[in-house]
Amino acid sequence: MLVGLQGSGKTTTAGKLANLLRKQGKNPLLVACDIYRPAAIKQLQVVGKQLNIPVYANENSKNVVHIAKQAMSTAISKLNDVVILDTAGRLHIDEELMNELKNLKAGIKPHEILLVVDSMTGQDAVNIAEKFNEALGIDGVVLTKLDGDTRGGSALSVKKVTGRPIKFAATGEKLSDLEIFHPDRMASRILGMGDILSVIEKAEESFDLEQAEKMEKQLRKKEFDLDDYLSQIRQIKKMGSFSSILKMIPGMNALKDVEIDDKEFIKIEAIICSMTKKEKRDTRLLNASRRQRIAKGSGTTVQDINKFIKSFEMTQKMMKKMKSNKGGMKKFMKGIDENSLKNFKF
Amino acid sequence: MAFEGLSSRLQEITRKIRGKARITESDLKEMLREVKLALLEADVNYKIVKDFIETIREKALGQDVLKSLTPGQQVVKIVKDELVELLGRNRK
Repeated sequence: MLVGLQGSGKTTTAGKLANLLRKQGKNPLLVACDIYRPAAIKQLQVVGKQLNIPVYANENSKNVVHIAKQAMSTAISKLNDVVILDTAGRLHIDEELMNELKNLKAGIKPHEILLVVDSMTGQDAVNIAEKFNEALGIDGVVLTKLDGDTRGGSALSVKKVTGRPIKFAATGEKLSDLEIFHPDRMASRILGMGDILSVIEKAEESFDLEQAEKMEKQLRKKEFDLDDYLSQIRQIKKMGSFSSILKMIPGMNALKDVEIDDKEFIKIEAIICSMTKKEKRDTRLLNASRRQRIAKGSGTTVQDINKFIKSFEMTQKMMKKMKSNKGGMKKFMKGIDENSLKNFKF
Repeated sequence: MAFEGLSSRLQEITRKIRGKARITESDLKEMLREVKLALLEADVNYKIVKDFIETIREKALGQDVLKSLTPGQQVVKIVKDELVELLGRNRK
């Protein structure tokens, strides 16, 4: 059951919700319980038609509880497993209408009552949420119009006041623009950090600073060989898929067209593991027959190996350069610009 | 997109504090003041802002800094964790 103020977007949300549920394999039925506003029923019918989702409406009845009960039995006979009630908009101070909602709740016992809140609401959002929660005991909140130019204060306040989670966020006019709300993602979006904190958290878990320092020293001392490369890959792999990490780094989301296949890493691992110790230390040893053997051993092709060796030799060169300048890793990272990243292939 | 104003304010604040190698109590105080203003400007309810700031202050003071993070990052992490809390915990 969806409740909320006038114009907060209940009817639209009902449609979106139905759409989302259908995607999850449910069979929803929309019910128009708005008997006050002219054309409200029609609106839901139009929305339902667009989505091809059945709408139950009874234009003659003026009893909301009655309509809802009828709708429930229709749903049962038509095998709809979810019923979405779109109630009329009302002010939280309107006793009469609030009582109607209470009756409705008592009459049909909805599994979930969602309060639809316009994210453009200001300070009053708190009062609204509180009153609705008091009267009905809401189970969750749907934030609408999040795409608008809002300051979003209501969004941040509602949860705290009601103690109920924000379950969905509507982010656009299209009927598919409804997202399940992820508090953590929203928080990082607000802080504008991509998800750098998840990266930090992940790094925290998977390797410690000392190990990294040791590695840097090692890198400076000797030639960067395939063994080091392998251990690096494995460390990164501990953090999760490389592509997902890249996405979490702020600024990197802009490089959407850089496609990094995580499977490549597996291939590379296999290739390196199929080499002898000597070969790992010195790639120049790799002649045609050795390459063929490695290809067989790793389940790849000679071309894959050629490609990999070539790019590895380039990495080696870069590492050499890095060693020669004192700036170390930081300077090196700064030197990487978008273009070189785009050309970066494994 | 919503939260734009709030977002840019908070980013500004976190950028400032992130670079710091040490955070004194007055640094923290100043930062929290700015966070408070940013939230209030975004129409967040006053009482909630007050609670929010208070929890961050409590958490930030006397917390050990993780080895792999700078104190600045740690504070930002606390702010973020609280923000998540405010928006609702992760649920399945």
